[in-house]
Amino acid sequence: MAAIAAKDEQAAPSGRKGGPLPLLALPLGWMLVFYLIPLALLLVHAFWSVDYLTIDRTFTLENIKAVFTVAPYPAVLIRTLLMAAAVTLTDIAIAFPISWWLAKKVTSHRELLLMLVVFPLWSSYLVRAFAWKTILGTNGILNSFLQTTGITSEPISAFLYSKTGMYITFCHVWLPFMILPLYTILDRLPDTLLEASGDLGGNGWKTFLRVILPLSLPGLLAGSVSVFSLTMGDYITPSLIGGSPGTELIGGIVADQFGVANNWPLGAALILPILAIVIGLLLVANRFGALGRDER
Amino acid sequence: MSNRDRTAELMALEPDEATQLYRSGRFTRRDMAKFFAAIGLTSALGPTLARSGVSAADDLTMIIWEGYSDEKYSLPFEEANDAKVDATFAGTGDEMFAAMQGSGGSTYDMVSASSDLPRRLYDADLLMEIDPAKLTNYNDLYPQFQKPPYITFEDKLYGVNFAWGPTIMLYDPEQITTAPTSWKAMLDEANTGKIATWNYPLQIAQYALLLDPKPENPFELTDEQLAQVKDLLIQQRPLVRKYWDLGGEVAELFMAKEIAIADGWPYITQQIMAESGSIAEVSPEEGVTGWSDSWCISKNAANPELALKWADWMIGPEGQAGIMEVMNYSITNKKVIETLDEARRAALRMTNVEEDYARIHMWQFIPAYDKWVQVWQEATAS
Amino acid sequence: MAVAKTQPGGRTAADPPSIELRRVRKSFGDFTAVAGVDLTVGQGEFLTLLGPSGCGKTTTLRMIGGFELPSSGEVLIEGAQMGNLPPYRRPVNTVFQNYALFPHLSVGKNVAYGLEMSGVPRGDRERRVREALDLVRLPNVENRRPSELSGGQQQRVALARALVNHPSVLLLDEPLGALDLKLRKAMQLELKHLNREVGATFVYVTHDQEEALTMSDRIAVMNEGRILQLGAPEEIYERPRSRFVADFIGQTNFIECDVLGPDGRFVACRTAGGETIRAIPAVEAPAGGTITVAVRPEKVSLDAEAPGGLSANWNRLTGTLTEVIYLGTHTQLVVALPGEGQIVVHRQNRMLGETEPSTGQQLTVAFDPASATVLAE
Repeated sequence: MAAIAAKDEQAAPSGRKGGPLPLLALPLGWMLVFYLIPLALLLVHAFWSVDYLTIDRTFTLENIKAVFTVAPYPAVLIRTLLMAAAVTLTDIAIAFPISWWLAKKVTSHRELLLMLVVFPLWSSYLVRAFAWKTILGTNGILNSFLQTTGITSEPISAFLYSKTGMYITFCHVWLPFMILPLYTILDRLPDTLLEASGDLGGNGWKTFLRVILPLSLPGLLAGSVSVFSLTMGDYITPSLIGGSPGTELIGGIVADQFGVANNWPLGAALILPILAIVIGLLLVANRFGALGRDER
Repeated sequence: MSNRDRTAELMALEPDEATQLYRSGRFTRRDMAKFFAAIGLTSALGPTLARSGVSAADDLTMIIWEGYSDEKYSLPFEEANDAKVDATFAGTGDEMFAAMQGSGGSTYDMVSASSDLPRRLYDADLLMEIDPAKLTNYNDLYPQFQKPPYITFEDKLYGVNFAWGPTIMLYDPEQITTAPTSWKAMLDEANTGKIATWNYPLQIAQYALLLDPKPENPFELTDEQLAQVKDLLIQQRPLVRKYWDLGGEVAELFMAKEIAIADGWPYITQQIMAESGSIAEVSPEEGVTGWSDSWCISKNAANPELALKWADWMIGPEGQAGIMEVMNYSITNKKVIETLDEARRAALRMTNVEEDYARIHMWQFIPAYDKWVQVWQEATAS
Repeated sequence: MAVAKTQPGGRTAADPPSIELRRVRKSFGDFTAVAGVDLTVGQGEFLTLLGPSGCGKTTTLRMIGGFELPSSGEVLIEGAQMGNLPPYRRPVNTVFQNYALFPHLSVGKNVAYGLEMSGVPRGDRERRVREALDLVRLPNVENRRPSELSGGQQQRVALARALVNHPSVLLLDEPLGALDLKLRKAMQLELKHLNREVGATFVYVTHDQEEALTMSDRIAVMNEGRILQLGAPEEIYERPRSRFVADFIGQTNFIECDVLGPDGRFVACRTAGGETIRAIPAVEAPAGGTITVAVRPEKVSLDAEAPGGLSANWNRLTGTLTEVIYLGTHTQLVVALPGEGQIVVHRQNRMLGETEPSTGQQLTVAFDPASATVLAE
């Protein structure tokens, strides 16, 4: 009797016949034809070179070498990485209290408040970046405020056309992408776990380190991958809010290669390290369950 | 009637017109389906369709320097030819080239190419030959603009030269009280944090004018001279507030008092003065670089006839008058120039066109352009 | 966190009470969850808070643990005012209803959590974790994850996690609810033994009256935010003071009758059917008016089966048998009385093949007046 029961269990695995593949065939196919193949065609240019107006298709690693050796590319890459890291860490610090408050402390009108978080995303990113331009300028709102309240006596021009300005703008525009996944995971965190930690002698800080942080890691990583990648690839904010010496980020340089210098091979070669870093991050995030768990 | 024409015809209808036609039996169900599909498609894809040559009305697409599609001259043209001018602004000639090459010349019918660009476009086989006989105003042009070397290849004409001007130095007299006379002012520490310069490798030529000895042709530089200009640029870096991309930006920067001095074009001065801003122009003593712009037509243009009409319009009396008024640029039509009074001609640097023109180091095609790009990026981006 | 050393074996009269609640109230906005509770729990005692959902028992428990703070009143543990001390400062540990095991930690780390929080060195920690798991009879699972264990095992881990800290007070919030019947009964006995072995005061919350009767030293029956009756299980069961308590625990017969007057230590009254019965008053004997007499069905016998001479002074009521329900251990006989009342008899099925009375029969039932209580309200 037990043997028969066991056999029954084996014969009926979860999922339909053939697994999920038939359902996924169409979207996978679309992805392949309209995304993966064009991307591959683009990236293969990294191994070619440009000769005046034509692409010379002889295999070469010169462009890839150039990315790591020829100024200004290495410097710009590092600058972009540092900026992306700074923005990500800052957004974690800002988003955590907000997501916590939304998930744990808000009792009424939660949907409305969540809408307010998402609301800025309804407007064009360009519009928001432009708004920061107005705010950060030498005669902009921020400087007016600081001078009126007496915090400064002269306008600070370093807010605009600078890395500071870019940093502020990035932190703001990407914030919803950090708040939402963090909110989702904190919302799912059972309150009883927090009470149990308190019951066993953990004060607020210890409970945060030992219970909240480890359990919210998937959400943190999901948000971080978003914010990091978005900053790595962006060229609009550097062009609007940056633009002074030493503010160029890799996204802008890549855009220049394709749009201005007409050097597709170099542009493709510049994309490769960015792609490698982002994929690396995704793998780490996946390892920690940020991209969804296997359902059994 | 081809399928595409039928669709175009359908899309030109108003919804109630179409319904009427259907009710009266002159439209089949298939037509109606096509009509609604077309509306849906065009509202979603309108711009894209226009780009790929499936136009609604007669569309003229162009990639141009800011200001060259101003309503002053585009509106009358649109009305006279029942067409629509659809312009995209580019910040540099490089952008224009990339845009033209990227789509194989099918996205844009025309480009306002400065003197450094047409050669590259020609080599990439993107230009359509122009028959001067089709241009009614052609013979009114100064001879030097009729078949200049930058748009003439293998003795055939590939552009219509319609405007020219210098890249001069602009400054805010409220912030800089003594008028500067040299490009050195753009490297002066006294102006730290108040300088804006055009983000374009071609600008190396402008800074090359500061070299001692001054090169004969700032567009033909030896490697050593290039290195020297690089040093100048690196010297300038900490003083620069912003490397600008579009002319409109310069106007904004001056109006917001973010900068006090920049390189730019006469039309920028026009813009600022129109907003009652404080601005003045200087032609520095070392000389200036400049540009001579021509309308070039894409080999794969959707509307080559309409493009020719536009080029003709722009070298005609109304077009040329518009350019002077809106852009404050110098023009190429002799007949029009000779109708102007002396003061006006002097203001627009056209007292003696041949001489005034020759004084400007016009942008040239640079064979080793990669090197210039490399130097510029290294100096400004790192 | 102050850890009081508890002595196995229980209390002495001289020790201060383990827990004291004085006039504790708790309101959430308009809603009053706990409407004034006074309670004293002795050292090592097993006290159960028993009541239906929403009666305030869990809220009361949480106020002892520090997860809620009283709106007014005082909570004292080991004689010390708790005030608004947070849970991590109280000498209390809790076993939560859904165990609340940390999913990202192994069983061993779960159990060791409290020890880590108070800085117990590693070697000691490992030893004490092993001891705690042995105590709850779950050895060798330190390296497993909570998700790999069954419900019963998880519950024991939760117990071990609480007990390893040697708390003076252990709070248990309906911990057996998710277990199946057999396991639940086994755990009830285990908990009782643990209470004796460990010597900590157990405060237990449940809505299951059988559970309460099984494990507790004393039961506090709660309803609508108040304690209605507090006492040992027999007292609660045999001498319910109110209709609610009588009704909530076990089954009770309620007989309305008019007071005739005191009769020795009893009160005599007349039923709707004109018969006179006597009962023990729970509090003061009422002088007149209508009262309710409560008597447990198992205390009622068929007159024919009442013990001979002993039952001479027993109350007798006559009515018509309307239902006979066989329930395995006993048979339930429902006798309709004149007026609107009825009386239920639980007749133990001691012997197979006993003749059952048939419905429609006229029956007389009898019960000892000493097992009948006049309810206080």
